[in-house]
Amino acid sequence: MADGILLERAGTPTVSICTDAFTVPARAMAKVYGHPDFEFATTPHPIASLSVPQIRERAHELMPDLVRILMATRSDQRVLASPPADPSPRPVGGADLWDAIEYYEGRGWTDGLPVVPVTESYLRRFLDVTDRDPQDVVFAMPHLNRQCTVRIAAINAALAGCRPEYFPVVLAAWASLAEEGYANKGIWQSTTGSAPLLVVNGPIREEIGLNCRAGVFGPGFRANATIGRALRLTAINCFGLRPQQLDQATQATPAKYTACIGENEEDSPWPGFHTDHGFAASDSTVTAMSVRSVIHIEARHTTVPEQLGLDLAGTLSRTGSLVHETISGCLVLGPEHAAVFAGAGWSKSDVRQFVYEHAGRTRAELAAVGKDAISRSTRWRLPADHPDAMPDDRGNYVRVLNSPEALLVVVAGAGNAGVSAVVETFGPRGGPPPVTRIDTPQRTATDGQ
Amino acid sequence: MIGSGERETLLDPTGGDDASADSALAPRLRSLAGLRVGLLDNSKPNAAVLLAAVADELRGGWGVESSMVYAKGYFGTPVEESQIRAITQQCDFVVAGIGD
Repeated sequence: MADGILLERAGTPTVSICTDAFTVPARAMAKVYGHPDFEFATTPHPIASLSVPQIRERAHELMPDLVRILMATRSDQRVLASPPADPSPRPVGGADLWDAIEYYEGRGWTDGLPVVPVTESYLRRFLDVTDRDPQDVVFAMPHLNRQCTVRIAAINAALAGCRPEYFPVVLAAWASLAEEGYANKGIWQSTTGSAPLLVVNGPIREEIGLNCRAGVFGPGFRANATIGRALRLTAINCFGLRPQQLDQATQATPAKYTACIGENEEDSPWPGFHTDHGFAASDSTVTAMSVRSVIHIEARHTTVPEQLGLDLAGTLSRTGSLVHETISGCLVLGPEHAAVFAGAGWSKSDVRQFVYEHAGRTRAELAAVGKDAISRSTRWRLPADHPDAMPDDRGNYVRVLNSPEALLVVVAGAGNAGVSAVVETFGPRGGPPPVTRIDTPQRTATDGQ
Repeated sequence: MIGSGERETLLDPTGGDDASADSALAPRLRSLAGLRVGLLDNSKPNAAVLLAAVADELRGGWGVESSMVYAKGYFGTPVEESQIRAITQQCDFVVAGIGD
């Protein structure tokens, strides 16, 4: 829809086509671009699986609409004026607390859970923990014509239930996401339904009570629960990424509510994740990943590192996640599993190398699920007999990772059982992860001296 | 806020509303005969096949003279400025799509 409007603005009449499953997000996108009545043509969903003759039939059926939209006098020439930010700001006192919660709910400024009402004096406590200007842009989505400032990030962090001292983590998380590069290219709108996962290292974990031990992916810890939620509320409120509208996720993932973990550096046999990437152990950092799913691995049965490595590799190489030519991932090893590897003398690099070598599928296994070739244009996996297919040139045993570096390793959870997780991520398929330092006011003051 | 004795305004977390359109849309066409159509392929599966079929229909039924395909680099983000310039120079109208 954006393409159509941009081309029209440049003076070229354009008709956009979408399948009818995307009518609502298409309208939402047109609204974002200031033309809520922008007309487009639809064809029944899906088209990806149709044969060429079926597609030709669809094209034929589309023609009356296409031509009408290109030629008809239309009503959507008028230009929207910017409506007022909020038609009815309201004062609130103690007795108004429940009303205030409903006020936010009623405007759709929520993820479905009640939010913490935010006023200027409460917001100030958040702005006080950063030296950044409230109008500094922390994250931009040019394709949505929207950007998030420090002030808006703070309002949403407060709404999410963050304490002010969590806010430096939220700001660093936005910087990490910007460096990671998927969210600002539209991935949060995708049918895939991905979510950001934040991994926090360093002393700030203890300072703000961010859980890295038992139940690390679960509930019960305000810092974990609300830092992740601050990103989601910003996505919904500032970037307009509401589910069933601009967020077109087919099923989404529970991680969309919140996904923020600490690395259990104290119970890890290895140096912290952030120190692998050039930071001092005394630095606090956050690393954002775009995750599709978090898969549970239960392997209590073995103390043989090769067996455990193969179990992890088997999960990582499942064909259901092999949408693109290759994948990327992050192993979140429980301390017991980390100890199995370290006890046998394996470093994190050894784990990555072993899993890289053993995470793969035979050509026949890929053919059985129709993923034995790749698209010429997108390099998504396809059956070899598809008209757009070309070989992937990866031989008869197809490794699902491009390199050991496409797999990250962190340690989190309790040392009470042989449980780990395989996190399926969107890239970087070998590039460095966006480890970002968390700047607290003291640190900034020290740096400035 | 609560218990402070003062009454304050609740804050808006959106950062403002949708950007207003800063330009009008293109004028409509009176006829398609003799015109050049641009096909903007967003690179999703079957997009190119559907657009090629639409182009055949436009040539056969509406007298459209020629068609040219433009492929987007990545379907998740809007068409780039340089591509818009090329398309507006080389085409009289555009059909854009599609996938999934």
